Order: sequence, then structure tokens, then C-alpha cells
Amino acid sequence: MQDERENIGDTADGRTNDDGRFAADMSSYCDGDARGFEALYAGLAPRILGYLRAMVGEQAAAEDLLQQTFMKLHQCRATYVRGANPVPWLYTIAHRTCIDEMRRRTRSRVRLSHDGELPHEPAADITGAAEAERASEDDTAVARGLAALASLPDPLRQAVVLIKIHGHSSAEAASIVGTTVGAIKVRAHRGYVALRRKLLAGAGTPTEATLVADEVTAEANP
Amino acid sequence: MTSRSHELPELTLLQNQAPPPISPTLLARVKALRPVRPRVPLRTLLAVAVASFVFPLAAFVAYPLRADLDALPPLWVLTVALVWLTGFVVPLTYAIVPRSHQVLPDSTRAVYTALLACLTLVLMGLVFTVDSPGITILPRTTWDGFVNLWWHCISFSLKVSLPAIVVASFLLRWVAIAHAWRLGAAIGAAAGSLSGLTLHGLCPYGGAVHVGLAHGGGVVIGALLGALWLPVLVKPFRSAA
Repeated sequence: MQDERENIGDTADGRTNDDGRFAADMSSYCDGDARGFEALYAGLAPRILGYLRAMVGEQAAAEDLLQQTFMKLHQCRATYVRGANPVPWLYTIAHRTCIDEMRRRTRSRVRLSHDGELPHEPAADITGAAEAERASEDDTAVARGLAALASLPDPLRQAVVLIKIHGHSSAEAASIVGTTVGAIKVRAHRGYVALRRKLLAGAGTPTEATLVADEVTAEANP
Repeated sequence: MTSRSHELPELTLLQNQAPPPISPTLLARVKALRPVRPRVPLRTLLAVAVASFVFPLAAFVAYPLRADLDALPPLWVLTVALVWLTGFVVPLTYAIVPRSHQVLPDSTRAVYTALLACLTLVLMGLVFTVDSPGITILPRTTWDGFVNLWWHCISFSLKVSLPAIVVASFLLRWVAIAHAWRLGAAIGAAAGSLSGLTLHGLCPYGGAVHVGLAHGGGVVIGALLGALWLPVLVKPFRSAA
């Protein structure tokens, strides 16, 4: 636990330096240097993919959205303001891409990727158990985390993922989602409390999980 | 990240994911990379301000100043003009210029400023309007008289707002990726305030109801127009991206 804390502390402390580096990479990218783009992709794609995976749940869909996000970044790179931190901007692009995709999903049952291939669906064995159940311990934990996140209403999930998982400040998260700092703080707190109850309950009974989700939904939509 | 989240290792594992390689389509675009000129928000602000000023400046050239201007208290004239000007500058700046070290303008801050401008300027007209008895023309107290003059001043406001919204939508076409309606509302409210400032110097009609609902109403109509039209105007660019 101590090691984890140190690692995460390092991430939080190093953010400023990282942001300065990303700003320099973005500037060189705007100046026509492809190495700037490669550095941005190498530095930010893992974070953005983590965010998208937490939002949509599926790895293949998240990877597809990641490519779309960077394609949009390429398209609108002239929007960049020299010296600014590109990280919240990229998260905003990813967030909007994700929202558009979620809306598209509600309109269409069959979804194709940009390559024209069917997206990956979790396979089930003959007993009906998901493939994830046979994966390693980490994969199981990730699957549990994703399932718990998926049970949260969208606004709470967004807030928890941005603030509690990705370590954004409340102001940054509010700007990415497009709400007020006060609202995002409340959402993050409520979402985290619900998530914590759900995850610490371990394999909590379906009844309890339903109750938590209902309570959170009621709080989010009074 | 807060230390509380370490109670949940599942969340820590979700922080980063190993990304896939860059897709061939994107890679091809990056290989054909050309330099671009990054955005300068103050330049955008200036361009939208210039577009907003086109009709008011033409109106000041074409129409005489209001006849009662000399008879009104100079302090009131100046204070009210400053409030109208603030209603133009602040929402427009917040809609276009991002916070320090940010790329996108803060749409929440912009829309709240637009709302504040609408409320302040309508209420200022309704409560703090000063007339010069015998010189200021007071509108007839009939419904028809009110509506005719209301539309006259509102249409003036629309002529100020439209160029601002069209120019802003072009210049912010890649910026308004989220909550474009909020930025539109702020730009529309700003243009409406500028029209109010112009009418403050030109409109010969007084009366709290006329000034509050026709001049102040122009801010509300401008904000609504911007909120409705900016998202429509930038939509093709959002889809293209």
C-alpha cells in the first residue's frame, strides 16, 4: 500500500513537469514535427485509453475511441494556444468523442469500427461464464472495477474517473465535463462513496448493489 | 489523486492502459504533417469585437444622437454606458479567451456571465432609467405603441448580434467542441449589450419599460439567438472532425 501511495504521489507531483513537456511537444507538433505527435501519443494515450476504458467498459471500443480522439486532435491542432496545457483539452476531446459514441450506440444496435470490422465482444464459454473470469488476478480486479463503475450513472462515473482515478483537479474535471466545480465535487464524492461501498462489499449481493445504484440515481436526478 | 482511492486497488489499476499502435490512417496523416499556426485568442476576440462594432458604428454615423442627452445627468449617462460596455466586454472575453494555460474557454463561466448580463441590464433599465421631462419621448402606454417600439429596438439588436455570431462561429469552429450553446449565449449577450450601449446614445425614446424590455431585452434575445445558432453553425465542423 505504501508503494502505491508513493507511486501515485510521484504522479501527482510530476504532473506539472509532464504538463510542461506536453505543452512543448504540442508546440513542436503544431510546428510540423511528427516527433511531437509521437511523444504526445506515447505520454498521453495510456491515460486517455484508461479514461475511455473506464467510461465505455470495452477495451476494443475504447481503443477505437482513442484513435478517433487523436484523429480529432490532429484535425484541430491549430486550435491549440501556444504554451497552454494540452492535457485537459485532450481529455475534453476524448470526453466528447465518448459521449457522441454513447449516443450513437443508443441509436444503433450494430456498431462497426472505423476499419469496418465488428468490435470485440467478451466471449463466453459453454457454461456462460465470461472470459474475464478466467483471466489473471489484475484482470479480475479491473473487470470488477469496470463493473462497479458501469453501475454508476454517467455524471457520477465521469466525475469519479476524472478526479479519483485520473487525479484531475476539480476545476479541470469541471472544465472537461462542462459543469461547475461545486457540482463536480459533489458528483465525485457521491460516486466514490457508492463505488467504495460496492467494491468493499466484495461480491455484494445483487440486492445491495441494486440499492446502491438506485440511491445514487435518485441523488443524481432529484 | 486522493489517498482514499488506495482503499480500492481496482481503481488504481484503471489509471493507465497500454495503448494500441497508432492506426494506419492516423499515421498516414501524421506523416503528411504540415505546420499550422496555433490560435491566438486575443486575435479572435478582436475579430469578433470588430464584427460586433460594424452596425453600431454605421448607426452612429447614420443617425443623430438622442435629443435629451444634454439634459440628462452626465454621471448617470456615463455610469450606464460603462455598465453596457462591461456587458459587452466581459461575456465576450470569457466566451473566447481561455483561462491561463488552458486551450478551451471556460463555457460554464461564459454562460453564467451571459446570464448575469441579461439580468443586470434588464433590471438596470427597469429600475434605474432616468428621463428628462419634456425632452425625452415617452412611448404611448398602449400595447401597440409598446410593441412597435420594442420590435424597432430589438431588430436593431439582432442586426448587431448576427454578424458577431456568424464571425464567432467561423473563428471558433474547432474550439466549440463542447457546450457550443454556452459560448453562443455569451457572444450573443455581449453583442446585445453593445446594441444596448448604442441605443443608450441614439434611441430618443425613454421610459423604464421601454429601456428595460427593449434595450435590455436585446441582450436576452441576443443570448438566445447565440445559444440556438452557434451550435448549428459549428456542427458541420464538429462532424468533420
